Amino acid sequence: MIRATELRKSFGDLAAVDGLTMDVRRGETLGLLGPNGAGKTTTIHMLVGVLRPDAGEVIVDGSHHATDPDARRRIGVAPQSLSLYEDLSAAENLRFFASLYGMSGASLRERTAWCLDFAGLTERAGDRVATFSGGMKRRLNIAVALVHEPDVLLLDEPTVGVDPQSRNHIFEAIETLKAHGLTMLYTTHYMEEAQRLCDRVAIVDRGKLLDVECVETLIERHGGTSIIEAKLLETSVADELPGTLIDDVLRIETDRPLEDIAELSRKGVSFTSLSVKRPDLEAVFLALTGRSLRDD
Amino acid sequence: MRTVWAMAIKDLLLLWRDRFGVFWVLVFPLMFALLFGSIFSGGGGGGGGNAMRVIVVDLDNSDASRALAQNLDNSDAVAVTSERDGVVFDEVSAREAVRVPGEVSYLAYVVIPEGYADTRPAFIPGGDAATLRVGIDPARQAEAGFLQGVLIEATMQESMTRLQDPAFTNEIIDESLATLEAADNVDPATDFALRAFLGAARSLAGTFQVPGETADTEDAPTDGIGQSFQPVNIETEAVTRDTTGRPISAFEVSFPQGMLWGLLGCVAGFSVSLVKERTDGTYLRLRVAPQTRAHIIAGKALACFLTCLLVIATLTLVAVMFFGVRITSPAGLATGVFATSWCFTGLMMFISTLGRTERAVGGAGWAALMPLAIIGGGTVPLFFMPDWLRSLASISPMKWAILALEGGIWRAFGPADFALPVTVLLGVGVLGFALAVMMLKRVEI
Repeated sequence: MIRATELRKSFGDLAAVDGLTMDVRRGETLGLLGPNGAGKTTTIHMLVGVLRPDAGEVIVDGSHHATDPDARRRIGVAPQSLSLYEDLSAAENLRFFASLYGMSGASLRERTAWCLDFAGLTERAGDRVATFSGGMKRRLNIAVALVHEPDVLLLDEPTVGVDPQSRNHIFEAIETLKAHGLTMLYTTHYMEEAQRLCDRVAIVDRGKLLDVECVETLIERHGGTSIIEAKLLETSVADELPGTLIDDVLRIETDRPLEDIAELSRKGVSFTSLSVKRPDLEAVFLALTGRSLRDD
Repeated sequence: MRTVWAMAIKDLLLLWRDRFGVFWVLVFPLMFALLFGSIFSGGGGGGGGNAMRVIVVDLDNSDASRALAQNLDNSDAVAVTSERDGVVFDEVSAREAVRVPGEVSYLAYVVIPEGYADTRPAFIPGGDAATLRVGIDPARQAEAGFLQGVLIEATMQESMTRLQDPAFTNEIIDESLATLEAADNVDPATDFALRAFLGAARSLAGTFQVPGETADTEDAPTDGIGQSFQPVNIETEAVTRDTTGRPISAFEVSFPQGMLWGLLGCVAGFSVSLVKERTDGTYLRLRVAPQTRAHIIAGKALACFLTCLLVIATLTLVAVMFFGVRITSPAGLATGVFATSWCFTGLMMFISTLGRTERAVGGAGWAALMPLAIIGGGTVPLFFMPDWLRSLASISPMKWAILALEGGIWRAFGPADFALPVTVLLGVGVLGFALAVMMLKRVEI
């Protein structure tokens, strides 16, 4: 749906995006996971044609350049900053942005109503955005991106500064869109979001795309082993068990945690507590970059 | 074009909902026009003080006529003059001075006729009140009525002063009795009454008081006397003022200046709003929509242009309806308004590119516009400026805007007069657009 090839963009000496190549497939949700300053927003700006790449190209739907009006009609963007007119109402914001895409009449009214419902703002349609909470503004920010019924939705850090309740509302809304087959590019620095919402995740850092795959494959490739930690009741049996014993805690690194726990059970090992640490995207990021996703 | 309209309407809606924006664009200019119009409005219509400027042509040149002129001048409402540049006014020059206002304009002239001092108050049998001739524009009825009242009061004061002299009073009474003696057609009852009255008057000779001098009660005798007779006749001569190319009131000057400040408010407001679109992120949404940068710029420019028109139209309407401001050249004014709005819209576009933050653009805008407004006639009217400053003002688009607006309001410009200001304004507008587009291209695709 969107293909970016060897995109490069520098600001002075800083290479914000450095040879990024990726493909957003029709119907999938692709996550762009990386810390702040990784180049995610710069990438989005190049994908929608508002920032000129120093090198590389973006093709939308096989043939359109990002700056083509046809390409722009197919893309909806929910920018990271709340891009709304605070002195206009929710409905007025939606109507105005829809009019930029040539919508009018009944289709505009229907679509505005749908977007207000999608954002859970039907009751507040006539209220000025300035009176909304942060979560309501975030939801409206996404709804505005959908008002012209785009084929692809680009969501740039859509949950930044949002309370847990609104965050869940946004997750559910995105899952609904996903269920309807909408193609989405979702940038985030929260691995939980990428893990929950994205079919594939592209790991980016310092302008480079390090790997892109589904979460399981990424973990398999880069996440390392799972770790079982069991606090034993009887440490005398420890010599016959795999792993290392520190005080009364047995620590086992394994690729097959469930099988190993079953094996411990068969051997009659008793423990007061048991935990399994499975590798996640944090571990993947750490393995790929040598630093934690949360360092920034 | 529909998207351009949509953006313009959105901006107008946002402006309307911004109370401070509305204040600077509409309320402040109106306040400016009213304040300065009121301050500089004089009764004489030429500005400079509140007293009505009146020329006195004294053909009698007597103590009595001089006293009358002095009494008139003593009034707070009237400022009397009898000469200009050391030359004493005669009837012809006074009439011309009222008809054709110069740097100082005069409301009216008053001619004190020869023999004024010899006239007798009308209450005396055979008395004949003097006739003062007042030349004034028939259109200024309110001022004419007011001036007549002031004249009667001044004449009455002068008459009372004369009546305080017993010799003058007795002379009048003697003349009246002689006239009565000589008359053979006075019926006995009237003859008796007049003789009784004149006898009583003789006994009161020298006791008349000038109103206001010693009377300390409302029913003082002098009040009764003062209200009982007409001390002077006033004959009004119509002198239609030739106001072509001259403001007839300070409001005709202050309203174009107010319009200028309103336009400056538009420029400041809209130039900041374009930057605000960037800082708020809404500009990104505009850019990702299927339209060109030119559409976005055109939408913003259209909103600014329409607001400029609205400001000028509103102030013009108020000026014409409530302050008697004339439109001497409607078509010229329309042309001037279009060119002025175009110019300020171009300036707005250019100024919006002078910074990356609202504060930077706001500061740059006012820093650039204020000096131009001040030297361009935004505060001191162009015709009050010394020649060197008036020449310097030519570098300011504000001067040409004021000229274009005044040209349609009171300067009565013809097409040839409008040509230069309109050309300059359109040129500045085009230059502003060109520079804005060039600078925007440098930072975007």
